[in-house]
Amino acid sequence: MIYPGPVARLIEELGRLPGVGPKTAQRLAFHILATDIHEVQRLAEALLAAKAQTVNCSVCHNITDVDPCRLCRNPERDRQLVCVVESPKDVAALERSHEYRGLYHVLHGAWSPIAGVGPEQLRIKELVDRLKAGGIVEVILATNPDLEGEATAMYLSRLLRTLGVKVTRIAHGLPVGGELDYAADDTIARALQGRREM
Amino acid sequence: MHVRELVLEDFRNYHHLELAFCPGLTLLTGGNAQGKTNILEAIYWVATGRSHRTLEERDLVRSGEAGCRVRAVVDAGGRQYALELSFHQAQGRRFSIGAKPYRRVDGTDSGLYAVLFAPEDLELIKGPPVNRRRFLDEEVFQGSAGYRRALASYNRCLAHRNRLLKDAGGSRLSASLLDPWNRQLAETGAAVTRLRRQVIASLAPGAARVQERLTGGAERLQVAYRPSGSDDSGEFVRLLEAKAHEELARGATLAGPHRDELALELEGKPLRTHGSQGQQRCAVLALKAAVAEYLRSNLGSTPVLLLDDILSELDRRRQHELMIMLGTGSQTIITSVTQGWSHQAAADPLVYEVKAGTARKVQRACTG
Repeated sequence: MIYPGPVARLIEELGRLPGVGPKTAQRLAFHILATDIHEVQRLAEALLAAKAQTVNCSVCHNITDVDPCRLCRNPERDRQLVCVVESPKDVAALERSHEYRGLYHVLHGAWSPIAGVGPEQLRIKELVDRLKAGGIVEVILATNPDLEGEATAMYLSRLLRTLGVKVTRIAHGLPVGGELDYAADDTIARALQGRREM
Repeated sequence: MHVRELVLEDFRNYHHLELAFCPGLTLLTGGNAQGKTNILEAIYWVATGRSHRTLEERDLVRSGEAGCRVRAVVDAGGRQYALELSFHQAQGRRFSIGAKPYRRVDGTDSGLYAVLFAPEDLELIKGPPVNRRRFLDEEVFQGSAGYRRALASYNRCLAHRNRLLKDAGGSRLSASLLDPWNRQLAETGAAVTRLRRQVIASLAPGAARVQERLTGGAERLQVAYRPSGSDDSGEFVRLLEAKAHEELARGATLAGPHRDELALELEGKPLRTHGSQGQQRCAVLALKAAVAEYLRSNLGSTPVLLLDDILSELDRRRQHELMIMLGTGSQTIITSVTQGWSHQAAADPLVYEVKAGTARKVQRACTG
Protein backbone atom coordinates (compact mmCIF):
# COMPACT_ATOMS: atom_id res chain seq x y z
CA MET A 1 0.00 0.00 0.00
CA ILE A 2 1.34 3.38 -1.06
CA TYR A 3 -0.65 5.43 1.50
CA PRO A 4 -1.06 4.85 5.24
CA GLY A 5 -4.24 2.91 6.13
CA PRO A 6 -6.50 5.84 7.12
CA VAL A 7 -5.61 7.82 3.99
CA ALA A 8 -6.11 4.82 1.75
CA ARG A 9 -9.50 4.28 3.35
CA LEU A 10 -10.53 7.89 2.80
CA ILE A 11 -9.53 7.65 -0.88
CA GLU A 12 -11.46 4.42 -1.21
CA GLU A 13 -14.63 5.90 0.36
CA LEU A 14 -14.46 9.07 -1.73
CA GLY A 15 -13.95 6.94 -4.82
CA ARG A 16 -17.34 5.32 -4.25
CA LEU A 17 -19.11 8.64 -4.89
CA PRO A 18 -20.72 9.08 -8.31
CA GLY A 19 -18.56 10.93 -10.81
CA VAL A 20 -15.42 10.53 -8.67
CA GLY A 21 -12.65 8.42 -10.19
CA PRO A 22 -9.47 7.26 -8.44
CA LYS A 23 -7.55 10.41 -9.41
CA THR A 24 -10.23 12.79 -8.16
CA ALA A 25 -10.64 10.75 -4.97
CA GLN A 26 -6.92 11.12 -4.33
CA ARG A 27 -7.03 14.86 -4.96
CA LEU A 28 -10.02 15.32 -2.63
CA ALA A 29 -8.37 13.23 0.08
CA PHE A 30 -5.20 15.33 0.03
CA HIS A 31 -7.26 18.49 0.05
CA ILE A 32 -9.01 17.25 3.18
CA LEU A 33 -5.67 16.31 4.80
CA ALA A 34 -4.34 19.80 4.12
CA THR A 35 -7.46 21.45 5.57
CA ASP A 36 -7.84 22.84 9.10
CA ILE A 37 -9.27 20.24 11.51
CA HIS A 38 -12.32 22.40 12.35
CA GLU A 39 -13.29 22.65 8.72
CA VAL A 40 -12.96 18.92 8.32
CA GLN A 41 -15.13 18.48 11.39
CA ARG A 42 -17.78 20.74 9.88
CA LEU A 43 -17.76 18.67 6.68
CA ALA A 44 -18.02 15.40 8.61
CA GLU A 45 -20.90 16.75 10.71
CA ALA A 46 -22.68 18.07 7.64
CA LEU A 47 -22.44 14.63 6.02
CA LEU A 48 -23.89 12.89 9.06
CA ALA A 49 -26.55 15.50 9.73
CA ALA A 50 -27.78 15.48 6.14
CA LYS A 51 -28.26 11.75 6.37
CA ALA A 52 -29.52 11.53 9.97
CA GLN A 53 -31.86 14.50 9.99
CA THR A 54 -33.73 13.96 6.74
CA VAL A 55 -36.52 11.58 5.87
CA ASN A 56 -38.78 11.12 2.91
CA CYS A 57 -42.00 13.11 3.31
CA SER A 58 -44.81 10.70 4.11
CA VAL A 59 -47.07 12.52 1.64
CA CYS A 60 -45.00 13.47 -1.41
CA HIS A 61 -41.81 11.44 -0.69
CA ASN A 62 -39.53 14.39 -1.27
CA ILE A 63 -36.59 14.62 1.13
CA THR A 64 -37.39 16.76 4.15
CA ASP A 65 -36.30 17.56 7.70
CA VAL A 66 -39.91 17.87 8.90
CA ASP A 67 -42.71 15.46 8.09
CA PRO A 68 -44.89 16.32 6.20
CA CYS A 69 -42.49 18.53 4.26
CA ARG A 70 -42.69 22.32 4.02
CA LEU A 71 -44.14 22.17 0.52
CA CYS A 72 -46.93 19.81 1.58
CA ARG A 73 -47.70 21.97 4.66
CA ASN A 74 -47.70 25.28 2.80
CA PRO A 75 -51.30 26.61 2.71
CA GLU A 76 -50.46 28.77 -0.31
CA ARG A 77 -49.91 25.76 -2.58
CA ASP A 78 -52.67 24.58 -4.89
CA ARG A 79 -53.79 21.23 -3.48
CA GLN A 80 -55.68 20.24 -6.62
CA LEU A 81 -52.45 19.95 -8.62
CA VAL A 82 -49.80 17.25 -8.26
CA CYS A 83 -46.61 17.19 -10.30
CA VAL A 84 -44.95 13.76 -10.57
CA VAL A 85 -41.14 13.76 -10.83
CA GLU A 86 -38.35 11.17 -10.72
CA SER A 87 -36.16 12.67 -8.00
CA PRO A 88 -35.88 15.39 -5.34
CA LYS A 89 -33.50 17.23 -7.68
CA ASP A 90 -36.37 17.64 -10.12
CA VAL A 91 -38.49 19.26 -7.38
CA ALA A 92 -35.69 21.74 -6.80
CA ALA A 93 -35.47 22.48 -10.54
CA LEU A 94 -39.21 23.10 -10.82
CA GLU A 95 -39.19 25.29 -7.70
CA ARG A 96 -36.42 27.42 -9.14
CA SER A 97 -38.71 28.31 -12.04
CA HIS A 98 -41.29 29.89 -9.66
CA GLU A 99 -43.88 28.88 -12.23
CA TYR A 100 -45.49 26.01 -10.40
CA ARG A 101 -47.68 26.45 -7.32
CA GLY A 102 -49.06 22.94 -6.81
CA LEU A 103 -47.85 19.92 -4.88
CA TYR A 104 -45.36 17.20 -5.84
CA HIS A 105 -44.97 13.47 -5.86
CA VAL A 106 -41.46 12.01 -6.03
CA LEU A 107 -41.22 8.51 -7.56
CA HIS A 108 -37.57 7.92 -6.61
CA GLY A 109 -36.55 6.59 -9.97
CA ALA A 110 -37.91 5.67 -13.39
CA TRP A 111 -39.00 2.42 -14.94
CA SER A 112 -35.88 0.73 -16.29
CA PRO A 113 -36.04 -2.98 -17.12
CA ILE A 114 -32.27 -3.00 -17.84
CA ALA A 115 -31.54 -1.74 -14.33
CA GLY A 116 -34.09 -4.18 -12.90
CA VAL A 117 -36.38 -1.35 -11.76
CA GLY A 118 -40.05 -2.04 -12.42
CA PRO A 119 -43.11 0.17 -11.77
CA GLU A 120 -43.66 -1.69 -8.49
CA GLN A 121 -40.35 -0.34 -7.14
CA LEU A 122 -41.42 3.27 -7.67
CA ARG A 123 -43.69 5.21 -5.31
CA ILE A 124 -46.67 4.62 -7.55
CA LYS A 125 -48.92 2.86 -5.08
CA GLU A 126 -48.49 5.83 -2.75
CA LEU A 127 -49.52 8.17 -5.57
CA VAL A 128 -52.62 6.13 -6.29
CA ASP A 129 -53.53 6.25 -2.59
CA ARG A 130 -53.16 10.03 -2.60
CA LEU A 131 -55.47 10.32 -5.58
CA LYS A 132 -58.01 7.97 -4.08
CA ALA A 133 -58.09 10.11 -0.93
CA GLY A 134 -59.62 12.80 -3.14
CA GLY A 135 -59.15 16.53 -3.74
CA ILE A 136 -56.65 16.20 -6.59
CA VAL A 137 -57.94 17.32 -9.99
CA GLU A 138 -54.88 17.22 -12.22
CA VAL A 139 -51.66 15.18 -12.28
CA ILE A 140 -48.78 16.60 -14.30
CA LEU A 141 -46.28 13.95 -15.41
CA ALA A 142 -42.84 15.57 -15.34
CA THR A 143 -40.57 12.53 -15.63
CA ASN A 144 -37.50 12.99 -17.84
CA PRO A 145 -37.97 13.07 -21.63
CA ASP A 146 -35.81 9.95 -22.11
CA LEU A 147 -36.87 6.34 -22.81
CA GLU A 148 -37.22 5.44 -19.14
CA GLY A 149 -39.03 8.63 -18.13
CA GLU A 150 -41.33 8.35 -21.12
CA ALA A 151 -42.17 4.70 -20.34
CA THR A 152 -42.92 5.71 -16.75
CA ALA A 153 -45.20 8.52 -17.94
CA MET A 154 -47.05 6.21 -20.35
CA TYR A 155 -47.55 3.63 -17.63
CA LEU A 156 -48.82 6.26 -15.19
CA SER A 157 -51.18 7.95 -17.63
CA ARG A 158 -52.88 4.63 -18.34
CA LEU A 159 -53.15 3.82 -14.66
CA LEU A 160 -54.23 7.23 -13.38
CA ARG A 161 -56.88 7.89 -15.99
CA THR A 162 -58.97 5.11 -14.45
CA LEU A 163 -59.08 7.18 -11.26
CA GLY A 164 -60.95 10.03 -12.91
CA VAL A 165 -58.23 12.69 -12.70
CA LYS A 166 -56.94 14.81 -15.54
CA VAL A 167 -53.47 13.59 -16.59
CA THR A 168 -51.10 15.90 -18.46
CA ARG A 169 -47.49 15.57 -19.65
CA ILE A 170 -45.06 18.49 -19.61
CA ALA A 171 -44.16 19.62 -23.12
CA HIS A 172 -40.78 18.86 -24.65
CA GLY A 173 -39.27 20.87 -27.41
CA LEU A 174 -36.75 23.51 -28.23
CA PRO A 175 -34.81 25.01 -25.37
CA VAL A 176 -35.64 28.64 -24.69
CA GLY A 177 -32.84 30.86 -25.97
CA GLY A 178 -31.62 28.07 -28.26
CA GLU A 179 -31.34 28.17 -32.01
CA LEU A 180 -33.28 25.90 -34.32
CA ASP A 181 -30.32 24.86 -36.46
CA TYR A 182 -28.37 23.73 -33.40
CA ALA A 183 -31.13 21.47 -32.07
CA ALA A 184 -30.89 17.70 -32.50
CA ASP A 185 -33.22 16.09 -35.08
CA ASP A 186 -35.23 14.21 -32.48
CA THR A 187 -35.69 17.38 -30.41
CA ILE A 188 -37.04 19.18 -33.45
CA ALA A 189 -39.31 16.23 -34.27
CA ARG A 190 -40.73 16.34 -30.73
CA ALA A 191 -41.15 20.10 -30.89
CA LEU A 192 -43.13 19.76 -34.13
CA GLN A 193 -45.35 17.06 -32.64
CA GLY A 194 -46.01 19.29 -29.64
CA ARG A 195 -46.76 22.46 -31.64
CA ARG A 196 -49.72 24.61 -30.65
CA GLU A 197 -52.00 27.03 -32.38
CA MET A 198 -51.47 30.73 -31.91
CA MET B 1 -9.02 16.04 -46.81
CA HIS B 2 -5.87 13.97 -46.98
CA VAL B 3 -3.28 12.41 -44.70
CA ARG B 4 0.10 14.18 -44.93
CA GLU B 5 2.10 12.33 -42.37
CA LEU B 6 1.74 9.07 -40.58
CA VAL B 7 3.75 7.92 -37.56
CA LEU B 8 3.41 4.40 -36.19
CA GLU B 9 4.86 3.37 -32.86
CA ASP B 10 4.89 -0.27 -31.80
CA PHE B 11 2.00 -0.83 -34.16
CA ARG B 12 1.85 -4.41 -35.52
CA ASN B 13 5.30 -5.20 -36.96
CA TYR B 14 6.55 -1.58 -36.81
CA HIS B 15 8.74 -0.32 -34.03
CA HIS B 16 8.82 3.20 -35.41
CA LEU B 17 7.75 4.30 -38.86
CA GLU B 18 7.28 7.75 -40.37
CA LEU B 19 5.72 8.20 -43.77
CA ALA B 20 4.87 11.28 -45.79
CA PHE B 21 1.85 11.18 -48.08
CA CYS B 22 0.45 13.44 -50.76
CA PRO B 23 -2.95 13.94 -52.31
CA GLY B 24 -3.57 11.61 -55.24
CA LEU B 25 -2.34 8.05 -55.50
CA THR B 26 0.10 6.30 -53.19
CA LEU B 27 1.24 2.76 -53.79
CA LEU B 28 2.68 0.50 -51.11
CA THR B 29 4.51 -2.40 -52.74
CA GLY B 30 6.55 -5.26 -51.37
CA GLY B 31 6.44 -8.98 -50.76
CA ASN B 32 3.95 -10.83 -48.62
CA ALA B 33 3.95 -10.37 -44.84
CA GLN B 34 6.18 -7.27 -44.92
CA GLY B 35 3.64 -4.88 -43.34
CA LYS B 36 1.80 -3.19 -46.23
CA THR B 37 -1.66 -3.88 -44.89
CA ASN B 38 -0.61 -2.73 -41.41
CA ILE B 39 -0.13 0.79 -42.76
CA LEU B 40 -3.67 0.86 -44.20
CA GLU B 41 -4.99 -0.65 -41.00
CA ALA B 42 -3.34 2.15 -39.00
CA ILE B 43 -4.94 4.88 -41.13
CA TYR B 44 -8.32 3.16 -40.89
CA TRP B 45 -7.91 2.81 -37.13
CA VAL B 46 -7.11 6.47 -36.55
CA ALA B 47 -10.00 7.50 -38.84
CA THR B 48 -12.71 5.20 -37.49
CA GLY B 49 -11.45 3.64 -34.24
CA ARG B 50 -11.84 0.20 -35.80
CA SER B 51 -9.64 -2.37 -37.44
CA HIS B 52 -10.86 -4.55 -40.29
CA ARG B 53 -8.78 -7.47 -39.02
CA THR B 54 -9.42 -7.63 -35.32
CA LEU B 55 -11.87 -6.63 -32.62
CA GLU B 56 -9.16 -6.82 -29.96
CA GLU B 57 -7.03 -3.70 -29.89
CA ARG B 58 -4.24 -5.53 -28.13
CA ASP B 59 -3.69 -7.40 -31.41
CA LEU B 60 -2.49 -4.10 -32.85
CA VAL B 61 0.38 -3.86 -30.37
CA ARG B 62 3.82 -5.04 -31.47
CA SER B 63 4.64 -8.23 -29.65
CA GLY B 64 6.49 -7.68 -26.39
CA GLU B 65 5.22 -4.08 -26.03
CA ALA B 66 2.52 -2.69 -23.72
CA GLY B 67 0.92 -0.26 -26.14
CA CYS B 68 0.87 1.28 -29.60
CA ARG B 69 0.32 4.72 -31.05
CA VAL B 70 -0.72 6.09 -34.43
CA ARG B 71 -0.33 9.75 -35.27
CA ALA B 72 -1.71 11.19 -38.48
CA VAL B 73 -1.25 14.77 -39.60
CA VAL B 74 -4.16 15.61 -41.83
CA ASP B 75 -4.72 18.49 -44.20
CA ALA B 76 -8.22 19.92 -44.51
CA GLY B 77 -8.11 22.56 -47.20
CA GLY B 78 -4.76 23.90 -46.05
CA ARG B 79 -5.50 23.65 -42.33
CA GLN B 80 -3.26 21.04 -40.75
CA TYR B 81 -3.69 19.24 -37.47
CA ALA B 82 -2.70 15.97 -35.83
CA LEU B 83 -4.93 13.07 -34.86
CA GLU B 84 -3.45 10.73 -32.33
CA LEU B 85 -4.85 7.39 -31.30
CA SER B 86 -3.13 5.12 -28.84
CA PHE B 87 -3.88 1.93 -27.04
CA HIS B 88 -2.21 0.78 -23.88
CA GLN B 89 -2.79 -2.46 -21.97
CA ALA B 90 -3.34 -0.63 -18.68
CA GLN B 91 -4.67 2.77 -19.80
CA GLY B 92 -6.87 1.61 -22.64
CA ARG B 93 -7.55 3.81 -25.61
CA ARG B 94 -6.81 7.52 -25.94
CA PHE B 95 -7.70 9.77 -28.82
CA SER B 96 -6.91 13.40 -29.44
CA ILE B 97 -7.47 15.90 -32.21
CA GLY B 98 -4.93 18.72 -32.22
CA ALA B 99 -3.83 17.58 -28.72
CA LYS B 100 -7.37 17.98 -27.38
CA PRO B 101 -8.69 14.68 -25.98
CA TYR B 102 -11.86 13.17 -27.44
CA ARG B 103 -13.79 10.25 -26.07
CA ARG B 104 -14.84 8.80 -29.42
CA VAL B 105 -12.90 8.35 -32.64
CA ASP B 106 -15.22 9.86 -35.17
CA GLY B 107 -14.99 11.59 -38.53
CA THR B 108 -17.62 14.12 -37.48
CA ASP B 109 -15.07 15.47 -35.01
CA SER B 110 -11.80 14.80 -36.82
CA GLY B 111 -12.91 15.46 -40.41
CA LEU B 112 -11.07 12.31 -41.52
CA TYR B 113 -13.24 9.69 -43.19
CA ALA B 114 -12.00 6.49 -44.77
CA VAL B 115 -13.41 3.79 -47.01
CA LEU B 116 -11.45 0.57 -46.93
CA PHE B 117 -11.53 -2.08 -49.66
CA ALA B 118 -10.14 -5.35 -48.33
CA PRO B 119 -10.26 -9.08 -49.09
CA GLU B 120 -12.19 -9.52 -45.80
CA ASP B 121 -15.08 -7.55 -47.34
CA LEU B 122 -16.23 -10.70 -49.08
CA GLU B 123 -17.81 -11.59 -45.74
CA LEU B 124 -20.18 -8.73 -46.42
CA ILE B 125 -21.78 -10.96 -49.03
CA LYS B 126 -21.04 -14.44 -47.74
CA GLY B 127 -21.62 -13.75 -44.06
CA PRO B 128 -24.81 -13.44 -42.02
CA PRO B 129 -27.15 -10.37 -42.17
CA VAL B 130 -25.45 -8.82 -39.13
CA ASN B 131 -22.39 -8.16 -41.33
CA ARG B 132 -24.51 -6.12 -43.73
CA ARG B 133 -26.19 -4.20 -40.92
CA ARG B 134 -22.77 -3.41 -39.47
CA PHE B 135 -21.67 -2.22 -42.89
CA LEU B 136 -24.61 0.22 -42.93
CA ASP B 137 -24.13 1.39 -39.36
CA GLU B 138 -20.37 1.79 -39.38
CA GLU B 139 -19.35 2.51 -42.94
CA VAL B 140 -22.26 4.06 -44.79
CA PHE B 141 -23.46 6.14 -41.86
CA GLN B 142 -20.02 7.32 -40.74
CA GLY B 143 -20.38 11.04 -40.27
CA SER B 144 -24.10 10.96 -39.51
CA ALA B 145 -24.52 12.00 -35.89
CA GLY B 146 -28.30 11.97 -36.32
CA TYR B 147 -28.28 8.32 -37.33
CA ARG B 148 -25.94 7.38 -34.53
CA ARG B 149 -28.28 8.97 -31.99
CA ALA B 150 -31.35 7.30 -33.51
CA LEU B 151 -29.66 3.90 -33.51
CA ALA B 152 -28.36 4.27 -29.94
CA SER B 153 -31.83 5.21 -28.76
CA TYR B 154 -33.36 2.24 -30.58
CA ASN B 155 -30.76 -0.18 -29.20
CA ARG B 156 -31.34 1.01 -25.66
CA CYS B 157 -35.09 0.63 -26.06
CA LEU B 158 -34.58 -2.83 -27.55
CA ALA B 159 -32.47 -3.86 -24.55
CA HIS B 160 -35.22 -2.67 -22.17
CA ARG B 161 -37.91 -4.49 -24.08
CA ASN B 162 -35.92 -7.73 -24.40
CA ARG B 163 -35.23 -7.69 -20.70
CA LEU B 164 -38.94 -7.21 -20.02
CA LEU B 165 -39.84 -10.13 -22.29
CA LYS B 166 -37.17 -12.34 -20.80
CA ASP B 167 -38.12 -11.52 -17.20
CA ALA B 168 -41.72 -12.47 -17.96
CA GLY B 169 -40.41 -16.02 -18.30
CA GLY B 170 -42.94 -16.97 -20.97
CA SER B 171 -46.01 -15.84 -19.06
CA ARG B 172 -48.31 -13.15 -20.43
CA LEU B 173 -47.36 -9.51 -20.04
CA SER B 174 -50.22 -7.09 -19.47
CA ALA B 175 -50.74 -4.38 -22.07
CA SER B 176 -49.96 -1.74 -19.45
CA LEU B 177 -46.45 -3.18 -19.16
CA LEU B 178 -45.81 -3.88 -22.83
CA ASP B 179 -47.47 -0.88 -24.51
CA PRO B 180 -45.04 1.83 -23.37
CA TRP B 181 -42.10 -0.16 -24.74
CA ASN B 182 -43.95 -1.13 -27.92
CA ARG B 183 -44.68 2.49 -28.67
CA GLN B 184 -41.16 3.66 -27.98
CA LEU B 185 -39.54 0.78 -29.85
CA ALA B 186 -41.80 1.59 -32.79
CA GLU B 187 -40.93 5.29 -32.72
CA THR B 188 -37.19 4.85 -32.43
CA GLY B 189 -37.22 1.86 -34.81
CA ALA B 190 -39.25 3.69 -37.45
CA ALA B 191 -36.72 6.54 -37.35
CA VAL B 192 -33.83 4.10 -37.96
CA THR B 193 -35.80 2.34 -40.71
CA ARG B 194 -36.52 5.60 -42.52
CA LEU B 195 -32.86 6.64 -42.45
CA ARG B 196 -31.70 3.24 -43.66
CA ARG B 197 -34.26 3.27 -46.48
CA GLN B 198 -33.07 6.68 -47.62
CA VAL B 199 -29.41 5.77 -47.57
CA ILE B 200 -29.91 2.49 -49.40
CA ALA B 201 -32.03 4.21 -52.03
CA SER B 202 -29.21 6.60 -52.76
CA LEU B 203 -26.55 3.87 -52.63
CA ALA B 204 -28.25 1.35 -54.93
CA PRO B 205 -28.00 3.13 -58.30
CA GLY B 206 -24.30 3.88 -57.76
CA ALA B 207 -23.54 0.27 -56.89
CA ALA B 208 -25.45 -0.98 -59.94
CA ARG B 209 -23.58 1.45 -62.17
CA VAL B 210 -20.15 0.32 -60.95
CA GLN B 211 -21.07 -3.35 -61.28
CA GLU B 212 -22.27 -2.73 -64.81
CA ARG B 213 -19.03 -1.05 -65.79
CA LEU B 214 -16.85 -3.66 -64.14
CA THR B 215 -18.65 -6.44 -65.96
CA GLY B 216 -18.95 -4.65 -69.29
CA GLY B 217 -22.69 -4.12 -68.89
CA ALA B 218 -23.35 -7.82 -68.41
CA GLU B 219 -24.66 -7.85 -64.85
CA ARG B 220 -27.24 -5.86 -62.96
CA LEU B 221 -26.62 -5.65 -59.24
CA GLN B 222 -29.68 -4.97 -57.13
CA VAL B 223 -29.27 -3.57 -53.66
CA ALA B 224 -32.56 -3.67 -51.81
CA TYR B 225 -33.66 -2.91 -48.28
CA ARG B 226 -35.74 -5.55 -46.51
CA PRO B 227 -36.77 -3.93 -43.23
CA SER B 228 -38.03 -6.16 -40.47
CA GLY B 229 -39.94 -3.28 -38.87
CA SER B 230 -41.60 -0.36 -40.58
CA ASP B 231 -41.09 3.33 -41.40
CA ASP B 232 -44.45 3.99 -39.85
CA SER B 233 -44.63 3.72 -36.07
CA GLY B 234 -48.30 2.71 -36.10
CA GLU B 235 -47.60 -0.11 -38.51
CA PHE B 236 -44.54 -1.06 -36.45
CA VAL B 237 -46.66 -1.44 -33.31
CA ARG B 238 -49.06 -3.71 -35.19
CA LEU B 239 -46.12 -5.87 -36.32
CA LEU B 240 -45.01 -6.22 -32.71
CA GLU B 241 -48.51 -7.06 -31.54
CA ALA B 242 -48.84 -9.74 -34.19
CA LYS B 243 -45.68 -11.40 -32.88
CA ALA B 244 -46.46 -10.95 -29.18
CA HIS B 245 -47.07 -14.61 -28.56
CA GLU B 246 -43.86 -15.83 -30.15
CA GLU B 247 -41.88 -13.01 -28.57
CA LEU B 248 -42.94 -14.06 -25.10
CA ALA B 249 -42.11 -17.68 -25.82
CA ARG B 250 -38.63 -16.75 -27.03
CA GLY B 251 -38.03 -13.86 -24.65
CA ALA B 252 -36.81 -11.55 -27.41
CA THR B 253 -38.03 -8.85 -29.77
CA LEU B 254 -38.64 -10.34 -33.21
CA ALA B 255 -39.30 -7.30 -35.41
CA GLY B 256 -37.20 -4.21 -35.93
CA PRO B 257 -34.00 -2.81 -37.40
CA HIS B 258 -31.91 -5.37 -35.48
CA ARG B 259 -33.34 -7.94 -37.89
CA ASP B 260 -33.13 -5.89 -41.09
CA GLU B 261 -31.57 -7.34 -44.20
CA LEU B 262 -29.68 -5.61 -46.97
CA ALA B 263 -30.46 -7.84 -49.93
CA LEU B 264 -27.82 -8.15 -52.65
CA GLU B 265 -29.00 -9.79 -55.83
CA LEU B 266 -27.79 -10.37 -59.37
CA GLU B 267 -30.61 -10.62 -61.87
CA GLY B 268 -33.05 -11.37 -59.07
CA LYS B 269 -30.98 -14.15 -57.51
CA PRO B 270 -29.24 -13.83 -54.13
CA LEU B 271 -25.53 -13.23 -54.62
CA ARG B 272 -24.75 -15.09 -51.44
CA THR B 273 -26.04 -18.40 -52.75
CA HIS B 274 -25.99 -17.95 -56.52
CA GLY B 275 -23.03 -15.69 -57.26
CA SER B 276 -19.64 -16.99 -58.36
CA GLN B 277 -16.55 -15.93 -56.42
CA GLY B 278 -15.75 -13.41 -59.17
CA GLN B 279 -19.24 -11.97 -59.17
CA GLN B 280 -19.18 -11.62 -55.41
CA ARG B 281 -15.83 -9.83 -55.50
CA CYS B 282 -17.11 -7.41 -58.11
CA ALA B 283 -20.25 -6.71 -56.11
CA VAL B 284 -18.24 -5.87 -52.99
CA LEU B 285 -16.13 -3.42 -54.98
CA ALA B 286 -19.28 -1.92 -56.45
CA LEU B 287 -20.83 -1.46 -53.01
CA LYS B 288 -17.73 0.10 -51.56
CA ALA B 289 -17.27 2.40 -54.53
CA ALA B 290 -20.90 3.47 -54.08
CA VAL B 291 -20.21 4.22 -50.41
CA ALA B 292 -17.22 6.36 -51.36
CA GLU B 293 -19.39 8.26 -53.81
CA TYR B 294 -22.21 8.62 -51.30
CA LEU B 295 -19.86 9.97 -48.63
CA ARG B 296 -18.25 12.32 -51.12
CA SER B 297 -21.60 13.91 -51.93
CA ASN B 298 -22.97 13.87 -48.37
CA LEU B 299 -20.03 14.87 -46.18
CA GLY B 300 -18.26 18.14 -46.30
CA SER B 301 -15.10 16.10 -46.77
CA THR B 302 -13.87 13.55 -49.31
CA PRO B 303 -13.04 10.18 -47.73
CA VAL B 304 -9.56 8.70 -48.03
CA LEU B 305 -9.73 5.47 -50.05
CA LEU B 306 -7.70 2.53 -48.79
CA LEU B 307 -7.38 -0.42 -51.18
CA ASP B 308 -5.87 -3.49 -49.58
CA ASP B 309 -4.60 -5.90 -52.18
CA ILE B 310 -7.86 -6.08 -54.07
CA LEU B 311 -6.73 -4.99 -57.51
CA SER B 312 -4.65 -8.10 -58.03
CA GLU B 313 -7.88 -10.06 -58.33
CA LEU B 314 -9.02 -7.98 -61.29
CA ASP B 315 -7.75 -8.10 -64.86
CA ARG B 316 -6.11 -4.98 -66.29
CA ARG B 317 -9.22 -3.64 -67.94
CA ARG B 318 -11.20 -3.86 -64.71
CA GLN B 319 -8.38 -2.39 -62.67
CA HIS B 320 -8.42 0.52 -65.05
CA GLU B 321 -12.22 0.87 -64.89
CA LEU B 322 -12.24 0.77 -61.10
CA MET B 323 -9.50 3.36 -60.78
CA ILE B 324 -11.37 5.70 -63.11
CA MET B 325 -14.61 5.23 -61.17
CA LEU B 326 -13.01 5.78 -57.82
CA GLY B 327 -11.80 8.98 -59.34
CA THR B 328 -8.72 10.89 -58.54
CA GLY B 329 -10.59 11.83 -55.34
CA SER B 330 -8.42 13.47 -52.79
CA GLN B 331 -6.30 10.55 -51.69
CA THR B 332 -6.09 6.86 -52.52
CA ILE B 333 -3.62 4.50 -50.90
CA ILE B 334 -3.14 1.04 -52.40
CA THR B 335 -1.21 -2.02 -51.36
CA SER B 336 -0.06 -4.45 -54.03
CA VAL B 337 2.59 -7.12 -54.42
CA THR B 338 3.31 -5.89 -57.93
CA GLN B 339 3.21 -2.36 -59.21
CA GLY B 340 2.97 -2.97 -62.94
CA TRP B 341 -0.67 -2.06 -63.30
CA SER B 342 -0.44 1.34 -61.69
CA HIS B 343 1.20 3.05 -64.64
CA GLN B 344 -1.88 2.87 -66.74
CA ALA B 345 -4.24 3.84 -63.91
CA ALA B 346 -2.43 6.90 -62.66
CA ALA B 347 0.36 8.78 -64.26
CA ASP B 348 2.43 9.65 -61.27
CA PRO B 349 1.89 7.66 -58.10
CA LEU B 350 3.95 8.03 -54.95
CA VAL B 351 5.52 4.60 -54.38
CA TYR B 352 6.85 3.10 -51.17
CA GLU B 353 8.56 -0.24 -51.00
CA VAL B 354 7.66 -1.96 -47.74
CA LYS B 355 10.08 -4.49 -46.35
CA ALA B 356 10.24 -6.06 -42.90
CA GLY B 357 8.90 -3.14 -40.92
CA THR B 358 10.48 -0.35 -42.94
CA ALA B 359 9.29 1.65 -45.91
CA ARG B 360 11.49 3.24 -48.56
CA LYS B 361 10.30 5.86 -50.99
CA VAL B 362 11.15 4.73 -54.49
CA GLN B 363 9.42 7.29 -56.69
CA ARG B 364 8.46 10.93 -56.73
CA ALA B 365 8.98 13.54 -54.09
CA CYS B 366 5.94 14.80 -52.28
CA THR B 367 4.98 18.19 -53.61
CA GLY B 368 1.45 18.50 -52.20
